[in-house]
Amino acid sequence: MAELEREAVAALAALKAARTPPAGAAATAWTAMQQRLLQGPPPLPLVASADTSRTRSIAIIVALAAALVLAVGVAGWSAGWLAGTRAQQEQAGYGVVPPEPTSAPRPEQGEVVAPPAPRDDASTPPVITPGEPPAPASTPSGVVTPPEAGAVGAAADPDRRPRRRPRAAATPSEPTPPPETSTLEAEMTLLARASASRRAGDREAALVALQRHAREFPEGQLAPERELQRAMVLCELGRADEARAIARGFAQRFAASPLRSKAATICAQEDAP
Amino acid sequence: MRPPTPPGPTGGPSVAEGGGTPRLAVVAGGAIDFRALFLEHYDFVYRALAHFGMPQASLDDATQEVFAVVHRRLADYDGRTAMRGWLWGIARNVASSMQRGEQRARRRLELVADAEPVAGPDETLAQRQQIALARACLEALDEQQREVFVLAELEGFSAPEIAQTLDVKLNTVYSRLRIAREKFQRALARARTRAQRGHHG
Repeated sequence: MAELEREAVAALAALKAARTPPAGAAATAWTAMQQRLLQGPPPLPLVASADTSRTRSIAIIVALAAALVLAVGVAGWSAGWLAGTRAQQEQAGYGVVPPEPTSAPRPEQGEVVAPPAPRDDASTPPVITPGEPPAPASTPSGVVTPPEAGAVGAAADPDRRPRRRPRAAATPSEPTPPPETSTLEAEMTLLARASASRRAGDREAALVALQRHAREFPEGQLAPERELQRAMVLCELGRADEARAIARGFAQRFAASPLRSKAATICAQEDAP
Repeated sequence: MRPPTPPGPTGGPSVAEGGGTPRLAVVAGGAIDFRALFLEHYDFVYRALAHFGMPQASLDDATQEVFAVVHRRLADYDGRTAMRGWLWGIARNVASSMQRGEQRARRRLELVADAEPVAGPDETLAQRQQIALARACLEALDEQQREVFVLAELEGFSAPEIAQTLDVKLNTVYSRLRIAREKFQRALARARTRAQRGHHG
């Protein structure tokens, strides 16, 4: 197999050195690792915890959706059953008993009442009381068990359904991401230009693009990225004092930025005595 | 194929000494000393994540994440794969997950710096040129060739170790490595020609 030329080996060695953390980084990182193992993982940006929370969110959404489908299904079945029974009653010429006075005693739990008669038994028409849920046809003993609060009875109440639907519709399946604005695109364009100039070695041009971003978007969404890049470019231009001043102020100005740790390393080598 | 070894007294797995892993920390009872493992392989995992394209600003967090996974799964490690191969696989998964989950953040980071470490002021111009050259030549390889090439040429894995790590046949490793080296050399020659033209032009 062909061996690599010396120049290739040297280039790869330089790349490996650039990708290796500085000496002593492992020992420093071990302290942080111990802390993490003792305290448990932070909520973000760790992959495992993010995955867990995403799984939990999906499970909750699925459970809510299943509950909604069940409630709507039961409500629809109950309303349909009731309407169908009424229609059959009217078609068969059955008299529907008017509502009883409110003072009339309602059947208590466990009280035995007359079970609905079979439909083909015309001699004993079933008594339907409006407002009452239908007795299950399969109840053999005729013992009527009052519906559980908030369950089938509530779902069968047609007045409640319109209130449920909007609530269910308002439950988003996932948060809607904010749309990209043209301002953000303009910011990104400027910073991308600065980054390209810097990669090409034209740090002055990079600085010009960054200064323009600072003028046009002093408190823009990408202000932390701009300031970080400005510090880097200044450091590379040998203007270490200015770079360090920006880096020092970065943590205070952008306390929540994930770029703080990066900012702390800019031109840091020259801080060492 | 070695059978899985039972967990050791510290909760970690017992690992037969060697296991394809040089200088694997083994304490009394044969259990892995997690601290020694961390310190020994920290640089390797950090580099592996850089090879997988993690931005420099995320490398510290990602390396911690890899070792957090290692800590959780240490009991599952049965020694059948060399430790570095096992770590490489975890690093690949962590890099992939973090890159997927943080695409938006990464786009913002890319506005600041390349995924690669930016050359510091203490690095010489020659070093910067070599780093840029190596990166450009690696770009000439496809993903599978690059992974084999990086494991062999940068990390010093043997061909059997690579085959085990990537779960591919040994012949596949040799084939990919041969093609990768040829492509790398050709890319290097092209870069050299361009540079010479630049000097003369």
